[in-house]
Order: sequence, then structure tokens, then C-alpha cells
Amino acid sequence: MTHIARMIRLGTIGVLLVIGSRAEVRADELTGAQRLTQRVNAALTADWSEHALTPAAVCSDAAYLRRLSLDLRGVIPSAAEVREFLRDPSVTKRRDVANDYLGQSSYVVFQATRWRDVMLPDQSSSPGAEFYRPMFTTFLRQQLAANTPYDEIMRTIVTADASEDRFASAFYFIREMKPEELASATARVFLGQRIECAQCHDHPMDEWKQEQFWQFATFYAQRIDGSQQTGAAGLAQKFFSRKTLVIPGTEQVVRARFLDGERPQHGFDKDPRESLADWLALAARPQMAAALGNRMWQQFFGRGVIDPVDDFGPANPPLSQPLLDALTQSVLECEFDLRQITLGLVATDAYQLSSATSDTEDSTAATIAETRFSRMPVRALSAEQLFASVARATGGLFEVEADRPFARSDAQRFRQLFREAGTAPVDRESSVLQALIMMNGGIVADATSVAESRLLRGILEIPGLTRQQRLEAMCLATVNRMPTDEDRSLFLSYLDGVPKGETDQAFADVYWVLLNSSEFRFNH
Amino acid sequence: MLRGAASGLAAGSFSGWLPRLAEAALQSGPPKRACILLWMSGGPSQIDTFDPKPGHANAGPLEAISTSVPGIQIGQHLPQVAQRMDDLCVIRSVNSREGDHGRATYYVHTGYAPQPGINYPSIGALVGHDAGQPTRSLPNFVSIAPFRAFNPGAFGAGYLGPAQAPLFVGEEAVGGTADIDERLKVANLDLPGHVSLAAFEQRRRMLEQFNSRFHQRRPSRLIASQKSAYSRATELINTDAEGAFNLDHEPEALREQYGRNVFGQSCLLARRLVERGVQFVEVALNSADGRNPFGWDTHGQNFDRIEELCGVLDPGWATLMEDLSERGMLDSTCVAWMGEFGRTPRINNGMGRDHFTDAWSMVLGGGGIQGGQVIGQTNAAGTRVTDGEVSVPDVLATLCTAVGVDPQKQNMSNVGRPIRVVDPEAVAIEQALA
Repeated sequence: MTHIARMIRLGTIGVLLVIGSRAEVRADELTGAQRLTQRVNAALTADWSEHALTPAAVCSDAAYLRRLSLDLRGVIPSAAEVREFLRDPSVTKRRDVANDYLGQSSYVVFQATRWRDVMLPDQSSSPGAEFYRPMFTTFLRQQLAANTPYDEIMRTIVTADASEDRFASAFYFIREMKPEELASATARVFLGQRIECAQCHDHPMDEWKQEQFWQFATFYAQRIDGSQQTGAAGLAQKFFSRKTLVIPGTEQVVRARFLDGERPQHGFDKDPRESLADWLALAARPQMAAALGNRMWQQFFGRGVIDPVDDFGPANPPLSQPLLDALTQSVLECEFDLRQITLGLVATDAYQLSSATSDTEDSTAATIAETRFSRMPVRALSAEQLFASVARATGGLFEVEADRPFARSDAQRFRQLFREAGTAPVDRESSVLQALIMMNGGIVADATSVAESRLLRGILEIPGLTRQQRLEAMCLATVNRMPTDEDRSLFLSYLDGVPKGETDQAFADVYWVLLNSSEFRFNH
Repeated sequence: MLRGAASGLAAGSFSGWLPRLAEAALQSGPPKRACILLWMSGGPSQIDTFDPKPGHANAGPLEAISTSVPGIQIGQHLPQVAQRMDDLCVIRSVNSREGDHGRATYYVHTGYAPQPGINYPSIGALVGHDAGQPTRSLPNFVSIAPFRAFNPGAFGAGYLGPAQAPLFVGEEAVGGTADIDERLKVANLDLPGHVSLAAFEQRRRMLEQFNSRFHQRRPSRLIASQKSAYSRATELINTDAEGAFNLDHEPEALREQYGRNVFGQSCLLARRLVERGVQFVEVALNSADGRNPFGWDTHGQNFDRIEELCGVLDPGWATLMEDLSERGMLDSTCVAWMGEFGRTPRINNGMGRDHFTDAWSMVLGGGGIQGGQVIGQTNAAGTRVTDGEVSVPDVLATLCTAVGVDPQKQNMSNVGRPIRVVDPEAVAIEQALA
């Protein structure tokens, strides 16, 4: 906002103050993020009251920092970051650190990977797929670094010119330009709706008919491979290029129509995808906002308000309509600004709740609480988050975000093992192989070997530290908090109990325990 | 009861049968059979394998060959399997409706179409849960080299919980390690050099104590799953998985006979696992070279690829049957062969065949199955079933019955209602059962 505009605004506010409508003044001064926080808080407070739920206690600073760092940057905080945060006396430190993280490159890198996993298929047999993924990630990084609003990102992707927007066009290349795949992806990613069932037949239970699907797919029928000619030849090319599709297995020819049945209004020389982008940005706007709000909710709470997040439909009602409405309204008000939405979400009361039950809560009540967000659910880490965190906690020097095709390193194998796309973070299961790699695998084994581990030797060799202090350093580096009295009692008695020459090895054992603990393994 | 069961034994080696017999004697009811499922991912063409149409245009360039059973013919690229026809029951009349890889993989593995919210378990988990021996250190269900990308949920334990989850071995379908032996081992089973078994045990105990307070205040499926995984992993470490995954112990000649490829050696591994009491082993054949997915999904160059794939399938499967038979294990082991659907009788423009669900084939064999026969018929063009139509759940019910698992038995699901092992409308195919 310009200085003059601000002055005018303040002047107006001054007048209003005199008139006396204070409520309006407050609403005016709040940012989009703050309004989102308020709406969500109100919706959930009402929901908890309706279901007779008492929210869990507010989480500790250490828990908040770890959670925030994982959700925004995809990695646990460093021991130094935890110490500093715990020591900071400022009352606004939780909000300030969120702002801080949003400005870091690790935020951009991590979120780009997350959005790439949303927008590209998990597995692709198309030739060159392993190149298209990094290309698209680069495109996303550029958008996120500039904080491009989500609806503009949508427009860039939907109308990408294959010769000018090569990186964004990876969205098309990886799907081999197939209209049916592009249509399904567009609906799923931007509208949160699965229409692919209707590709082959009218689905009896779903709203989508086969004709609708293919009409929608026709927006992508025109060639976009960049071989556009200029002048008369170009016009002719546009006139004769595909504006229709034939439904496979039938003789039915369809023209482009939006999912709500409306016809696009565009001249023959306009790319139909421009109309599609317009429609998504306007007519489909509330749905696109709802889908985005829901996806971002899942990012911070492990489960969408509508779950699965890409399955909006009559058979899949939201957990709480008021909450979904609050998110939708806020996304629209923030004008799809991802950073504002993020700041709003992490400032909500629900995001600050502990994942621990109260002493008196039984497990059935605790489970209900988790599903209605009156207790923060325990959530699985993605393969990237876990690997980055292991690397940080062990002082490892592996490249954390390698996307290089054909490279098969220990790091890649580790990540491959924990990759489980498609399941919500509250539903993922552990496997025996995952347990084995954490217990015996090379990365953890090296990190917990006195001979091999630099970080471990570092902790052991700093002069002048007591055992307590060395233990603290280990806890801060791994579970990102100070040891509790029980922890001290458990570990120090172990350390004191071993023969003199074996203390270093005993520390390595403690380190192994911390890295294999549930506290380390999950987001909570 | 011991004597009654023993009298059913044919002459032959007792080595595989006896331990199972002894354990079974501790349970009531007839002993359950083990099961090996050979999974052809991508949808194998039935006309080129088990339902040939010699003389018809749809057969393409392939011919049919005779088998050890007069009157039964199969595709020309399966000569060794043809000699084992006495132990096999070919079902040519399967009719299903799921033509999408992901959905169909789920449907055939679990017997139910995917539904939001319900996590159906794979047949391997269901059988392992019902018939498995909980005291053994090896898991009840091992899945070798699966290609899970089509639908990861299809291959797991679903609502039966993490304790029934399969041990996956040999994944890395794309661009995997060249060394087959390494690939088929359980990764990271060995303790690191500087950690003794005693030291490992000490660490484990401390871990349990450290975790306990955290766990107590967080009832969570994720945590339960992790605890279960660590517990089973510890079992495997402590028993060194009974050397089951070490193929070096097998004679060279036998390894050659199975075929020196991922599928062939996986079949050998399956036999070893069943010998050591694993209830259900799933072996996937994803591609001829073992390094690519989508193998049987022959939308193009169908006939070349069928030849390559059968070149791997034929020796592996036939040797498995022979090996089981020679060890006296065939009567106590069911063998099943299937993919997620069949392929179009009509050949497309790329010399390929596309997805087809109206009339396709599955094969059952081994213990509990009446071999040497064909069930069901398709028309001359192979486009529809003319006799004996069965559904996928019918075949799964038949397999369960042969193993000794009641297909109508109920398990508690994750949506609070009990669900039967197989769809209640399914009927086991009487004719197929011995």
C-alpha cells in the first residue's frame, strides 16, 4: 500500500473512530491471514462445543517450532535454532518465526516438491518422465519464490506455451499431451474432483457423464507443441486444428464444454485453454478456493476437511461445512496468496494444540478428538522430510533434494523406501523394511558409530561439558527439545552404569535410541 | 489326528510336510495349505497363453500346443507348463468389469472394488491372517518384487492392520540392482559391524522405555504400526530370518532350471519360504528382464513381448511345480496364476492387444485343486464366455477353500462393520476343487 493511500486510510479511520464504529475499524486493519485465523478459530470452537470436545493443551514452544519447521521447510530445526527459540522472551515469537521461515529458500524448495507431487503423476511410463519432474519443480520454485498467487500459477500452467514456458509445459509433456489425462489432472488438482471414472462410462454413483468428461477434455485437444506458424498459414493452422474430439470406442464427436455445461465463448483464433483458465478463475472460483483451502488444511493437519482431498463430491461430505466455508472464504479474500494463507493457518488455535491426550481421556475419545482437530494428530513424515531430518540430526552431508535422474545412491534408496504417495499423512503404515533401515541401515549406523560420525564425535569431544550438557545437545539435535526428568533419569543412569572406557559407545547407543524413537519419526 | 493326516501322504520326501503337520496337529481342523500366487502385472493376454484360438484371425501368428492332458491345448510359448497340466486347472470364463490397471489390481487382489474409506486387505494378508502360524518368526505373508505403483493399497494388509502387512522383498522394479541375489535378500537385516546382538538388545530395551511415555499419551494407528514393524523387524534380526533368503544354499543346477532371472529365482525363493512355514507368498512377473514395470500390458508388439515373457514364465513356473512335487510339497501348496484382467481378442494397429475384461483366464493348481481340466468356455473369437462364467471373487473363494480358509469368515474392518474374506455372493467353483 502506498504511503499516501495509507495516510488517507488512517484519516478515514480517524473519522470513523469519531463516528464510533470500532468493529469495522478492527476488521479493516486485519490482514487476510489474521481474518483466516479468526474465522477458523470461530468455526472450530463452535464445532468442538457441538461435539462436547475439550481441546488439548497448547503445545510447548519446542513442539511448535519442530512442527512448524517440518510443515514449512520440510526439515526439523537445528539444535541452535531450538535453543534460540526457547530462550526468546518475545510474546510474538511464534508468529515471527513463521514469517522468518516463509522467507527462507528451504521453504521454497520444500513447497515446490510438495506441489509437484500434487500436480504430476506419481509414476509415469512416458519417455523422459525423469527429466520432466525436475523441470516442473524448477517452474514451481520460481513461482513460490515470487509468491505468485495460486490462481495465476493455475493460469500459467493451463495456458502454457510449449516453446516459451518449457518448464511449466512439463505438466503436458509428462502426460504425453493426452487430452484425457490433462483433463483429469486439471479437475483433480485445481477443483479437487475426480472425473476420470467418467472417461470410460457414465458412472452410476457419480455426477459425471462420459460426454461431459470428453467435452472437458476437448479444451486440451488443440496442439500446443509450439510449432505455430505465423501469418496466413498460422491462421489456417488455428482454424483447422482440433476443436473437437471423438469419444474413443464410439462415433460421437464432442466440442469443448466446461464441467458446468456452459459453452466457451471464444473466437477460432483463440487458444481454448485461455477460456478454460478464465472459467477456472471465475465461474469455478469458489470450488478452486475450496479445493486449495482443503489441500492446505491437509498440509498442516494431516487430513483434509474433505478427505481424500481430491474427491469433492456428493458421496464425500466435509467433516465440518462451516470450517470448509471459512477456508474457502479466506482463500478468496487472500486472493490465493499462499503465504498469507499459510500464516493464517499456523496462527490458528488448532495448529497450536498438543498431540498428547490429557491424563483422563480414553482412547476412543482421543481418536474422535484427533479427527475433529481438537488434538493435533500424529502425522507421518514424507520421505523428503524424514530424510532431510535424518541428515540434519546426524550432521550428514548428503544432498537433500537431489532430483537427478538415474542416480541411485543410498540417499535415494532411503527415500524410495519411505515414499508412499496417495495416502493421507494420518493413514500411512510402517513396514518392517523401514524399521530395518532405521535400525541397521548405513546412514543411521554410520551416524551412531563413534568411529564414523562427525556429529557424535563433535558432541563427545567439546571440552568442558558435563554429561548432562552432552545429553542435552543430543536431544536438541534429534527430538528438538530439552530432555525431561524421566529422560535424564533413563539415559544418565545408563551412561553412569557403563565401564569407564565405554562411555563414548554408550553415548552412541543413546543417540541410536533418539533417532529410532517415535518422537523423531513422526510429526506431532 | 496325526495318523489320519499322515495316511494322506503319497510316497516321497517328508522334509517340507512334516514340520507343518506337527504344528497343524496342535490346531483343530484340517491342516491349512500354503499358497503361492504368481502375479502377472499389466494384464496377461489369455488368447496367447491359456485360451488359444488356433485357426481364428484373433490368434495372430501364434499357435497352440498339446499338453500332458489329451484334449487340452495352451499357447505355444508355454511348453514346460504344458507338461504340468495334470496339476493345473485352467479357468477360461472369468468375467469382470474393472478395466483400469489401478482399480483392477485392487479388485483382483482384494476381491472388492476400491471404495473410499474402506481399506480392503489383499488375499495374501487374509490368508496369512487366518491360516498363518503366529509363533513363527518369519512373516505369514511375503511379497516378492511386486510392482505396486498401479495401486499400492492393493498389496497390503488393509484393515487387518500392520501385523498382517507383507514383507516386501526385491522391489526396485525400475532400474534396480543387477545382482539378483542381492535384490532378493531382506535389506538391512544384518547388524552393522560394530554392534553385537547383545548391544542391539540393550538399545532395543532402552528404546522401548524412551518411547513408552510418548506412546501412552498418543493413541494413534501410526504409532501402533511403527511398534509392530519394529517388533517384527527385531524377530527377523534375532533369527536371521532362518537363512530363508539365502539362495546360495540351493544347487546350481536347480537355480539354472528355474531361470537366472528375477522371476525364476523368486519362484525358488517362494518354495524355500513355504518350506519354512510362510503361509502365503506372492511372486510378481513384471517384465522379462526384471527391471521394468508394465510387462504384460501389451498394447503394442504383443507377440514379441509374449514370447519374451513366457520365456521367463515357463521355466520358472514349471520348475516350481516340479520342485514342490519332488519334495512332497505339492499337495500342501496351492498355486495360482493371474493378472488384473485379460486382453482384447482383436489385435490392434500396433500388433498389440488392449485391456479386456469380458472373457479371460486364471489358473489354479497344486494342493486342493483338481488338476488336468479346463473350466468354462469362450466362443470361437474369444470375445465372450459361452459356458461356466465365473467372477473374480468366485475364483478367490475357490482358492481360499483349497487352502482351508473359510471364504465367508468375517473380519472386523476399519469402518466398524465385519467384512467377509470374500464377497458374500461369491461361490467357490466345486468342479475345481479336489
